Amino acid sequence: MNQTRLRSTGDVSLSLFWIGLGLFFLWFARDIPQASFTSEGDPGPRAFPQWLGLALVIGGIWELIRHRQSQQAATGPSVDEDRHSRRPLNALIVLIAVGLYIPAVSWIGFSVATLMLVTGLLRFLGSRWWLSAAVAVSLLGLIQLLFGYGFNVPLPTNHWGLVLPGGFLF
Amino acid sequence: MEIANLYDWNVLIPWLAAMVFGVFVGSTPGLTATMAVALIVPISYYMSPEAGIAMVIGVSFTAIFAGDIPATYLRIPGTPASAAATLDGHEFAKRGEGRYALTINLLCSCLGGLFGVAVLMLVAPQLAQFALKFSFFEYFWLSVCGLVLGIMVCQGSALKGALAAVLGILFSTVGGDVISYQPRYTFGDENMLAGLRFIPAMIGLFGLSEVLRNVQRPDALGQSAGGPERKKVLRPALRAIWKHKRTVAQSAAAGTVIGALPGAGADIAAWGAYGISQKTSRHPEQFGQGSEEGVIAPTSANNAAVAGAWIPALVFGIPGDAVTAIVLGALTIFGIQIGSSLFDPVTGEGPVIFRIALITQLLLLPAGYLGIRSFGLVMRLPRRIVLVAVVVFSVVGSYALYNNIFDVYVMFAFGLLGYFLESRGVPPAPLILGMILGPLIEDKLRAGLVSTGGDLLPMFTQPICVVLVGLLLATLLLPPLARRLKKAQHR
Repeated sequence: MNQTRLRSTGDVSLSLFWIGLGLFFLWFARDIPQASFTSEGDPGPRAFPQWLGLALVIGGIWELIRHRQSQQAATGPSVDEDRHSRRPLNALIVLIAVGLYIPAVSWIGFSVATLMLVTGLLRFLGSRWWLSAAVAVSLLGLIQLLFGYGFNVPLPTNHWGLVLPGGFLF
Repeated sequence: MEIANLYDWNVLIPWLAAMVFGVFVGSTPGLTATMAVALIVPISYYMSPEAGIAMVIGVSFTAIFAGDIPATYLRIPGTPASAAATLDGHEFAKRGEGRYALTINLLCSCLGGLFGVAVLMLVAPQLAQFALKFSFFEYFWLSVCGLVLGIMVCQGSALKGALAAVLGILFSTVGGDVISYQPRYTFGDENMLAGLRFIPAMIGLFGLSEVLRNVQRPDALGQSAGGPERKKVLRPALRAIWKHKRTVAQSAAAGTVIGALPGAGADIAAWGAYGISQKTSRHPEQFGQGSEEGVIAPTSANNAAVAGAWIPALVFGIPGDAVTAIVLGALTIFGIQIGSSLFDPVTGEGPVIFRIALITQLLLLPAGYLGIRSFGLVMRLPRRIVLVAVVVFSVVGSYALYNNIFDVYVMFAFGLLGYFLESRGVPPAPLILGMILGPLIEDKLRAGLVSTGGDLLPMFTQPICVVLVGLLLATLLLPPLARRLKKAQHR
C-alpha cells in the first residue's frame, strides 16, 4: 500500500480544531463592520468570514459525528507499521530550533544565526562536527552569493546593522 | 525588429542565459516567476530590442516550468502554479524516478507552450472577445469550479479537503477587505493588514512540514535524499507522453483557455487540467500515487496558460497576472504597439514576438535539462543536509518576498499547521488553493451582487454561468451517482 495515501480516519482532535477555529473566526468577525461604503447589494466585509466560520463549525461537528460512527463500526485498532522506527522528538527539536532561529536572525544576525542553526541541527541529526560546520559555512556562502549578489534580493539584517567586509551580512 | 536577427549569437546567447537564470530563480522556493521576470527586465534594456524582448519572454516561460523542480524533488512548489505538480511528481521522486517525472514535465511544458503560442497566433482576437464575456459571476463560478476540482482530486476524505479549502479562504480574509479595505482579523497589527501571503504559507505547508515528517526517520537521514535514480529517462518519457497524448492535448487546451481569462492564471489552469484529466482518465485511482497523467496534466496546462494570458494582454492591453503585466510593460518600453495592429502580418510586430515565443519553447529544453541535472546533483547529498538546507531556504525564501520577517513567522506557523493537518489525513493543497482563490471568489461575488443590486438570479441564469454551474454539479454529483449505480448493478 502506498505510504503517502492519506487515510480518511476520524479524529476527535481534528474535529475540535475545525470547530475551535470556526468559532474563533465567528467570534472576531463581530469586530468587522457589517456594511461597506458601497451600494446596496454588497453583503459587506463581515458576511463572508461569518458564513465560512459557520461552515467550519458545522463541518467540524459533522466530522465528529462521523468519527463516532466509525469508532462504533471499527473492528480493531489500525496498525501503523512505521510507528516503531519514528522519533517524534526529532521533529519537536527541529521545530524549537527553527522557532528560536527566526527571531535570532533579526538580533544576532543572519550569518551567525544560520551557522549556529545548521551546525547544531546537522550534529543533532547525526553528522560529525567538522562536516556540520563545513556544510554550514558552504550553505551560508551560497545563500549570500545567490540572494545578495546574484538575485540582488536583500537578506535579513541584524539589529545593529553590522556588515562584514565585502558587503557580506553579519 | 527583424526575425532574421533572432538567430544572431548576440541575441541567442543572452536569451539562453536569461532562461537559465529563470530556471534557477523559479526553482528557488520563495522566488517567484514574477520576481524572475522583474529581475531580468533592467538587464534587457541594455540589449537590442530582439534580445531584450527574447530575454523577458524566455524568463516568463522558464520560471513557470522551473517551479516544478523543487515541487518534485522536495515537495516545495517553486511557484503557486507548481503546487499541482507536487501531488504526483513527488511520488515519482520518492521511488527514485524524479528525473523521469521532470523529463516528462519538461517535454510537456514545451508542448503546452507550443500549443498556447499556436492558439495565440491563430485565434487570439476571437478568443479575446470570448474572454470579454466573462464578468463577475462567471469569474466567481470559474474560481469555485477550480477550488472544487482541487478538492476532488486530492487523496483522502472529500470533507477534510473541503474544510481545508474553507480554512484557506478564511485565511485569505485576514487583512484589508477586498472591496472596502476595512481591516479584518488584524488585531491592530499593521503586518496583518497586508494579510497572510500565500507564498510563505505554501513554503511552510509543503516544505517545513515535510522536513518535520522526514527528520523523524533517523535510519533514512544518512541516505541520499533522492535515492538511486533511473538511468534512461528520455525514451520512456517520450513513450509516456505518446501514450497519454490525449491528456497532453486536453490539458494544453484547458490551460490556454483558462490562461486567456484575465486574473485566472497558471495556478488555476494547472489544477483545472489536473482535475479534468483525473475525471476523464481510465485510471483515476492512480492520480496522487505517482501517475504519469498526474504529471502531464498540470505541466502541459501551466505553460499553455502563460501563452494564453497573452491573448487579452496583446489584444486589449489587459494583463491577467503580474508576470504578463511586467512583460507587457517591457514590450511597451521597446516600442511595441499593443492592440489589433500587432496582428497585422505586414506591419505588425506580432510575427517577431510569436517567433520568439515559439523558439523559447524549444530553448526551454536545454535550459530546463540543465536545471533538472543540477538539482539532481543536490539530491545526491545525504538527506539530513538537504533537509536542513530546506529549512534555511524556507526562511530566506519567505523573507525575500517583501523583506519582512513577519512572512517568516507566517511560514513557520503554516509549517506547524501543515504538519498537524497532514498527520490527521487532511491534504494541504486545498488550503493553499483556498488562499489563492479566496480573494477572487469573494471579490467577484460581492462585485456581482453590487452590480445586480443584490439580485442572485443572474448568478444562475447568465449563459456562461449556466454552463459553469452545470459542470460543477456534474463534477459533484456524477461520481457518487456512478458508484451507486455500480453497487445496484452488482446486487
